[in-house]
Amino acid sequence: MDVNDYLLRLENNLMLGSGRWVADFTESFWDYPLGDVVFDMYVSATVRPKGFFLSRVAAWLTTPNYYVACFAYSHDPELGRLSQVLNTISTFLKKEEFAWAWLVIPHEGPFSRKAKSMVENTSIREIGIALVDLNSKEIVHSQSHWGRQMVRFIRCFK
Amino acid sequence: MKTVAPWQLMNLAKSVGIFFVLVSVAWIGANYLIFKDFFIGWPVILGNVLVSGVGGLWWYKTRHHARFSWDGDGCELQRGRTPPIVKRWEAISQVSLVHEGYGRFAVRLYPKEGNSVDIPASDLGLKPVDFRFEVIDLVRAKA
Repeated sequence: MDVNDYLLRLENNLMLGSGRWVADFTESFWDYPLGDVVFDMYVSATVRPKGFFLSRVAAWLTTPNYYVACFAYSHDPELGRLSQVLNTISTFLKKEEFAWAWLVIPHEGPFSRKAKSMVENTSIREIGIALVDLNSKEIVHSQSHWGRQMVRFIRCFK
Repeated sequence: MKTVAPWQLMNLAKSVGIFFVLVSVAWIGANYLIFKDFFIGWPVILGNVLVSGVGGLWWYKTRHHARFSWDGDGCELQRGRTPPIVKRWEAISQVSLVHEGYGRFAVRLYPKEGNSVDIPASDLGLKPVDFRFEVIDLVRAKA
């Protein structure tokens, strides 16, 4: 599986698959420029589901309305620019008033031990980070709440 | 220039359904006001269906039927009898895929100036993901 195939599956899984359990992912951009970084994919979502009339009323009464996002960035598997990418996402979250984001870093091959360690030791609360090895299907994630949560939604290899 | 304008059954069903509800409520309301009673039977229901069908079809043709044309220079989208929206690819800055719910997708064009335009890809019988990439390529070719 190459990166594009994986991103298509991820996009589909977020919009139509298990991603709907966590948020209503509605809009997807490919090659999305943000500051100096061009993300492979950016999918935005709201946590308030739409549904038909009664579902909408129920959601309006019971669910807070905040926005979330999923970014994918495959151009830097060694994570040399990780802090710049995270800063870009943090700035975006603050500016657009998004609550949290996932950063998925897919790669056709193993990540270095240093890269894995960097991700596991990253402690940004509002950004969950995951390294996805497309060959071995191994996922390494950050230890924040969103980092732990995101794994089951980005595991879409079939 | 390629053109697609298939019958969009979901929108047609929605238009007929809305007319059916409106005609039913109007019939019940009129009966109650005039006779203080409701007359409901097969002839009434069949008449209601017929009126709803004609009304819904008219509403669909007037407001919802989408017709989309595109080539290497730009595209044109017309909904019903409203004036067509014409966009040239070089005037587009971003393209996105939008899930409208119930598995229906649109491709959204963000112009450099002005409001975004949604091309109802699923309604038009286009494969949304492939069509999105086709539009991205057309926009890039003109960038």
